[in-house]
Amino acid sequence: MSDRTKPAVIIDCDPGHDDVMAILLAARTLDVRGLTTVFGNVDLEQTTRNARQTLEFAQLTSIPVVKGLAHPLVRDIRHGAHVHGESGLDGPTLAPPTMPLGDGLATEFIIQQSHIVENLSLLPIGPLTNVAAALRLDPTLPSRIKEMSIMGGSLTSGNATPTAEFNIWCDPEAAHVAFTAGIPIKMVGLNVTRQVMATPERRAQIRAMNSVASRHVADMLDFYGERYRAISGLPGGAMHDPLAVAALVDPDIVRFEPMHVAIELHGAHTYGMTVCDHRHLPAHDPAAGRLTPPRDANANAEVAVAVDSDRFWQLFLDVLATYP
Amino acid sequence: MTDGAKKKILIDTDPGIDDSMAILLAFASPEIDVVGLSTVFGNTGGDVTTQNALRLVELAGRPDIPVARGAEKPLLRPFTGKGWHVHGKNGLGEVEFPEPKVQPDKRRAATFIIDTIMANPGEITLVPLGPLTNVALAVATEPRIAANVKEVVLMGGAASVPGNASPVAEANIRNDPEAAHIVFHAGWPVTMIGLDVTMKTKMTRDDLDRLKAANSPWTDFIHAVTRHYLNFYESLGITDGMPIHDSSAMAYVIDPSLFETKHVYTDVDHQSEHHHGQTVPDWRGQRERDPNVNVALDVDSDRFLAMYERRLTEARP
Repeated sequence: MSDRTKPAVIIDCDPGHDDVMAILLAARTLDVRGLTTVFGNVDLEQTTRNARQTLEFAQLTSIPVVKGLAHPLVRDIRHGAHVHGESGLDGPTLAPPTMPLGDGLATEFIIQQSHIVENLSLLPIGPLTNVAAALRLDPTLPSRIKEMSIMGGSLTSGNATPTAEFNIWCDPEAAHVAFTAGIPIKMVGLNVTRQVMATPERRAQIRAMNSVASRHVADMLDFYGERYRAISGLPGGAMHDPLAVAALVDPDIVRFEPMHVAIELHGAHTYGMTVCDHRHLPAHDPAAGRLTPPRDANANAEVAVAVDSDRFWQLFLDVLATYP
Repeated sequence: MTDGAKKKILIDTDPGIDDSMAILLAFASPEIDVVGLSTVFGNTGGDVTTQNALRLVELAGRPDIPVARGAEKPLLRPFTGKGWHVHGKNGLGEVEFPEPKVQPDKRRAATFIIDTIMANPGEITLVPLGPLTNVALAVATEPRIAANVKEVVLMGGAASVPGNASPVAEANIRNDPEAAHIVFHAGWPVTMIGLDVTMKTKMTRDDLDRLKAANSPWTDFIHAVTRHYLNFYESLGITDGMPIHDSSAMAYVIDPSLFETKHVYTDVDHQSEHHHGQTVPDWRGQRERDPNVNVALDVDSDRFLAMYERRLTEARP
């Protein structure tokens, strides 16, 4: 049941291993009004199936799952099955889902909840297609959304391409719509999420909890971690999505700085890049004797610049221990 | 003709002078059942086009027909708002009309389009007369409408003739090229009634005077709002009459035999700095893709104009 004292959120997700970590963390620390699903790590049918399976093994089936968009707004579809396996959730053996799917479309669910829930925030941790479609369907939506904590983008390098992070690169046009909507944004990008690794030691800690949930999570993170090691040589899978949740739970886990973020829609090599203006230049003001280069003076996002990995793990492990 | 045999159409529109003429043609046509209007920015802003659509259902004596308000700007780009040169700031040639009494439907246009098509599987002809933003949002959020619509007959594009909003782009497509890209590739039957045919069907001042002689509220309205539109085209040096663009799409819905069309694979350029909004038919099949658009190439404009005049002068609202 929802707890009205916690911040209310809709998680827009494409599970995906790290999406599952985000859902488990959020369900105990935030008032999760629903999951909306989107294509991304794998196709929409599979991400929707994975969302339901997650809620079932975690005994969270009071949270509705509503299906969203299956395709990027403009560009051709791409998936990330090489990281997450064919099912998007390879590793554990999960029962086929039985919980019903929510009625209607994700976009309508987001709009409808925004009318019912005061101070609703969005937690988009997949491609921003549902969010963008909802924003264009109802131009008044931004006035009813408190903030968006987005897993996506990067202040430094990308992963899908040298410059673009996967979620943004899956639908850069949608990301452009989201980042220009006027809703306060926390952008939790690769520059911080890559610093929080599910190393073999962390996975062993999780497995030792010896609950159903912890075993599934350990199986997932083992598969995900091995894929990460094979692809990138890193010691484990990056805990991308749960960090966007953590940013809403504990202000001391992720540190943000305001800056202007533009989504590159035309670059031959930079399509899907989050172009963050972090030059730390004061505004050009000849009267005050400041002759700085022109820049985007108006920050549209709080961009994650640093993360306390140990503090995140403390929170995540404490929360995971509460699951059956 | 029984209602069951009528063609059910949903018009997505940005009225707009030629939109208004097309909508009145639909109301004057016994084989057409207008089940709703949805509005979009375009010829002027979304507030104004919605007010005008409400005025049109009132003028038609059909205030029961739902009018759903839609997009106020393109999916990605800013709205340039250049159409007011053609249509006047109020979208109706600067002719003042009283405030409409009816209210818009509570649903947003894309939702209304989805609901209407899904409630009438295989029956709805969707007739977009403005930028394709609402239609793109509808088919992106509920792809099943592609299999449940009867067909899409849109006014827009230019296959083998110059553009009007840019050297190569027609205004409706230019106003939201990304939306047009979505609509053209949504996997549903699309007929493109573009400048190739709409520039061939022009009404002169004499034609409009003959309409006015019918002395009905509809033809009075058409005569009044077209003064501004005639002046605009004459200012461009087009002196043989004004193209009644949107009515051509409605004419195709009423009687496809007026048109010569060809199925061809057609892309919408949405990436070029200067040429975005161009519709690009692959006449030689070089892309090796299946045809996705039925492109209108020619029209029997005499027969079409005679039909328009007959329908509007005989209609007794």
